Amino acid sequence: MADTAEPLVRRSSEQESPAGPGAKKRRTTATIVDRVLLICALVSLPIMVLVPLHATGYWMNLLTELFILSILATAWNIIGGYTGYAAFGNVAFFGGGAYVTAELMTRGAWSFIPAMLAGGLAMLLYGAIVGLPVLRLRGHYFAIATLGVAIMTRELTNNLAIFGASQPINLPLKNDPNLFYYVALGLLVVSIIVTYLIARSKLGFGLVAIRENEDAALVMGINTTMYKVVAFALNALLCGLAGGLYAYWHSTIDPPTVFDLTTNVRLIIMAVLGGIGTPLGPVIGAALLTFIQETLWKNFTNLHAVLFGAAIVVVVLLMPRGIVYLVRQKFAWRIFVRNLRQYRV
Amino acid sequence: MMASPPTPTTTDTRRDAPPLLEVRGLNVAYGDVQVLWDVDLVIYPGETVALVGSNGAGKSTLLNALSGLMNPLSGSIRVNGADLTHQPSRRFVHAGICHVPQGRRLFVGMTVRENLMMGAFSRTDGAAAIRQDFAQVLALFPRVEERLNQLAGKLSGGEQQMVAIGRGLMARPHLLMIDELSLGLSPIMVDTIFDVIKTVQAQGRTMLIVEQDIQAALEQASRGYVLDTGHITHGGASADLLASDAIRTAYLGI
Repeated sequence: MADTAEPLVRRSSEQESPAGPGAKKRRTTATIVDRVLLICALVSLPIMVLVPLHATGYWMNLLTELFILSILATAWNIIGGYTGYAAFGNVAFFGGGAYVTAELMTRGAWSFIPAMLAGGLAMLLYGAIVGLPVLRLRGHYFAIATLGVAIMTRELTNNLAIFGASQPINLPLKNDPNLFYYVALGLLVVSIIVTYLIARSKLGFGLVAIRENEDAALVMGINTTMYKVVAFALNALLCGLAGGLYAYWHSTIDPPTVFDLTTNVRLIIMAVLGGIGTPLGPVIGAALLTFIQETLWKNFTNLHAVLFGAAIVVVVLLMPRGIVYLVRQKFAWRIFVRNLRQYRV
Repeated sequence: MMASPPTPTTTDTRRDAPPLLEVRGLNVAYGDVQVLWDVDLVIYPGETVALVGSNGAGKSTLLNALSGLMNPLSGSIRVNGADLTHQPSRRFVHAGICHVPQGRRLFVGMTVRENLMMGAFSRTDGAAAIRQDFAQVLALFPRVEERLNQLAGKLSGGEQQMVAIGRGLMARPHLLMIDELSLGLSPIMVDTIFDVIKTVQAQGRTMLIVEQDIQAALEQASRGYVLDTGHITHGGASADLLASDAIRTAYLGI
């Protein structure tokens, strides 16, 4: 009776609370937890806005990078979390946005914000064009195809003269940490709002239906192709915007940096760690992962990569559904035990 | 744009009315393997039609073609006179054809309530009408009402079938097509489901039912079609089909 194709998200949802009279109550708990998380986010926003008044350069850098990673994780959540299509090539749009912005600012002498927006819009278009064929694939095939798109995009920029033919591009220098901080924070807030709007809209229900059972979604009369392409293109738009910001912030970009394939892995881990299919999960995941990474790096400089990998394994084993789900279940220890049993550790 | 369907007050087969669904010379293939050959099938408003045949005869394929999930090689599918051949599945949904697929195909990670509401996803006739149908579906399936807030994947097979049929009804379809109505259900549950079918029938809903239990299906339906290795070999009133050798031939090949 259970269907054969198990998308990434499905298995986790089947672990949901056992059916019983308590199910209704637990659902309300989940709603309350989501509210609390939202309030936390709203409270932390003014704090974040005030940070630059006091923070040192280290913290400004760290937070700006955290915001950019959070945007990427939030963007992935739209296609990977809500729609259940594990995109593995989002760096294509991140790097693409970075390159379009860089080209416009150097050759076109555009100013930063219009260039960044143009980079985002270009990636929206690119995502829609790439998405149409690629989104016909499902599961692993889709993941591999998107990875192929990322590599293809990197090689194109590497070899085309208009993109500097693998030479680094230098953008105008701008030494204003506050600007990058606020733009990153603003973009992050926008991407979270976009996620909330999607989650509450008909589009969001359609996407979740596609994730849960695409054939059934078709039978419900959902234009699955259009829904998937819209989700993928929105994801690409947010990645492109983040890429544009990154380009100006770093002031020098080259293909190996902006098309770094490990970024794909990092942002997926962030989303999964925080809780996919929830609006705030990816941000929480990004914060936690960055915190773990920084702590390990400071204390175990030589071993930090090994320990970081081990930490990810442990975290995913203990809570494969992410932190948001754990909070919803009020940190019950039995969840850890159950997950360990499930994976026969 | 879907107007609310007329609700006939009688269950009589109204042959004088134009057919709701008219299939002519339908050929369907999976790649190089042709599964359906020149299928003709007509369903009139208000009647219940049974589609019977052995495993692999092509029943599910026919239903998939009739809901736009499969693109036929040739032939025509007309719904209320409009040609829907080669149209995507959402056009069929808009035209009022609802398919309850084999194996339920529920959204297992969604609650029962969300599953039912997904049935109304493509409706444009407003929240009030949807609420009304929601209440009707719950009246039809009291057991579903008890489990509204549970995940659909946690329900028993019979309950899942109830949700699947309820989700189909939430689309307020002109024609409800149910694939493998009672497959894998306990005998008691089969009775319950057939009772529901009777009620839905009495409400004047047009139905096409694929069912393994030929006796039960034909007793329920006014007419039946026998599908044998991709060909419609017999079609006619249920009583005639039950009396003839057609069924035995189709199932046992003798």
